[in-house]
Amino acid sequence: MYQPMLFLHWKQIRMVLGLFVVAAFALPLIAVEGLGTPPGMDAVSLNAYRTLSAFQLWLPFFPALAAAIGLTLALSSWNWDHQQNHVYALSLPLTRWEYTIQKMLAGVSLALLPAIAFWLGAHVAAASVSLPAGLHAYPNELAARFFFATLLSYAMLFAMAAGTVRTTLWVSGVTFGFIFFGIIANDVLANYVDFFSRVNVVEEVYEWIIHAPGPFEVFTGNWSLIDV
Amino acid sequence: MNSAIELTNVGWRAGKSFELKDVSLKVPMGSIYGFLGPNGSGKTTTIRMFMGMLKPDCGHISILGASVPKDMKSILARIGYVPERPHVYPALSVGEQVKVHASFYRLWDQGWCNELMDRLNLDATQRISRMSKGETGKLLLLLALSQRPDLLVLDEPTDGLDPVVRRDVLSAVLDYVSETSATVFISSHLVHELERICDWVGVMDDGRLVAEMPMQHFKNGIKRLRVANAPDTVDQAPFTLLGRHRDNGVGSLETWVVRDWEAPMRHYFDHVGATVRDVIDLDLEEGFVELLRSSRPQHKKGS
Amino acid sequence: MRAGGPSDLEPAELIMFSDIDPRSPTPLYEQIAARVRLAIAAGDLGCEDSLPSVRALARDLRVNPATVVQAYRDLAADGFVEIRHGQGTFVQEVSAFLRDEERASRAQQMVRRLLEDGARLGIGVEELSRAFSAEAGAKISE
Repeated sequence: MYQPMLFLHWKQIRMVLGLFVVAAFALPLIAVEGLGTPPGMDAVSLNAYRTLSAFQLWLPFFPALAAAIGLTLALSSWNWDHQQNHVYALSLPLTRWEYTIQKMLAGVSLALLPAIAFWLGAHVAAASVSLPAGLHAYPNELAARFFFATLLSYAMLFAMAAGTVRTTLWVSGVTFGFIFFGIIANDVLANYVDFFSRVNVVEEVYEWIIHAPGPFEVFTGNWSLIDV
Repeated sequence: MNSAIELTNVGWRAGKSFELKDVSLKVPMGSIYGFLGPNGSGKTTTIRMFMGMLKPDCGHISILGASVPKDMKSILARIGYVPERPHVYPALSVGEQVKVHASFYRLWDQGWCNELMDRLNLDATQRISRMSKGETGKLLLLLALSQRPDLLVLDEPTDGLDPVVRRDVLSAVLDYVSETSATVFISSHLVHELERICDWVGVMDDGRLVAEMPMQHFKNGIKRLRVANAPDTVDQAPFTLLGRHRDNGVGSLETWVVRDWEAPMRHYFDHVGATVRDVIDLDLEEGFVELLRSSRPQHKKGS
Repeated sequence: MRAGGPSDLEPAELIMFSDIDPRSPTPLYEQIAARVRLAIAAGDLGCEDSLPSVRALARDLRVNPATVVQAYRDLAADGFVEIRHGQGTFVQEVSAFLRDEERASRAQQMVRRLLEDGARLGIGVEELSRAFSAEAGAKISE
């Protein structure tokens, strides 16, 4: 029973959420606008076409929008708590876990709204384009990717937003430190140990996190509405 | 369970600046307990401690017979809390805040809430950010009382409120207590208010609980004595001497401030060749000040 | 605007208790009881008149309800009132003798305080007596 959390979150964010819903619906439509229906297009030349078409320009906006929604939801989840130093939360007859999970569920519920709008937009966009043989539209898959991308960014940032400024600085600091000093250390060690001259540890970790099948792949993978 | 709140040897330290030292406090069930102390003495910290918001470094805390922080969830369901700084959401209306709050408490009494809203003159449609300090104070109390708590914890509930609102707030609290025999823990530096309504008093100073006793005992027990031919040393006295000083230029007349005084103790002075010219009553505020003065280390003693 | 609620005090009742002084060494419950006794002695409260409910009196005087309960219990113990559970507290038939005794006791308390104040300020019984005659005489001739 997380109604109060949902209500409070809604109260804070309803204006911005409305804008996101509109954007989520519109984005797929805008993206396909540049996609004409030249006759005789087949799978092979689609690749070439892709690199030229304006559609390519819009692709990064999908994950960006998902991340933006996640960020906004995360920050607004905890904004009011931070303002009054969590006093209200601590005085309620809920365990911290119950409180946190209810808050999170509220955010997830709200994330559904732009996700559904995006799903609708993707369907309308797919329907408005007549596709040559060999090409298919994947509005459901894309909408699912969008929803998961939103949830992922929400979840990560939710955890950070819950903490104090100090926690956030710690997390950012450690991450940045690892990257920065890791690269330097790698370069230095490359002079002494053969392994490091062939392998850049930081880069490998990065590749593994970003591209391997896993959470981050949601962001860096294929955001194409239309594909072979 | 005869204590609503019980702290045993609680200690806490935050950096070098502030600490609670060995606080042992007992609030009897059904009492109205006044928590006095100057600013910075540790009153709010102590409250946060038994509300489970801060963890003590040592010592044990129990509320309504249950252990803090183990049973915190069930304890908090029975506590109505009015903090020093309002913890309501400014963007909500009164009605919305009430609805949000009500959803967390099983024993919520909406009928009583409506009656209180009426009595305290609160408008359900008003935005909290536009409310005055007094109205916000009344709202906080409304929320706490409508939960039908067994324990009311009020941290400076009437601070900064005008007299009319203060009366409304206190009346509502007393009304609730008459009906339910709930326990009230009220921290305030408005000593005059506490004088009327509290039957127990605890005094904090510099992180320590320096006194805890029934209100009557506190009020009556602390007196100022005008003593003639006072002895230099005081031993085996039935009362506690808090301080003494010589009156300006008037022979050997001294003013003593004593604690735990009872009328028959006059005879003590006869035995030491002194006489008590006068026994002056101190009101709660004066007694409180004297108690604090005596409990602090002095650089220049007495006369 | 005063709070509304069950069995509000009448304005007359409020005045009766209006000078309750929490700072006085006399406990509040004793002060409340004394005022009731005086009202009975003066005839302001008659037999079977009801005293305000504990709840109403505590709320309107802004005192601890336990204080009111104590006052009423003391009055009942002295035979001035009867506490009927669920109905309220009612004034008992008080003999003329008790009433006179109460008034005499009151008068004595007042004089005692006057003498104490006088002693503190160095005003003797003689001077007080003269002042009394002057004041009382003026009152009678009004």
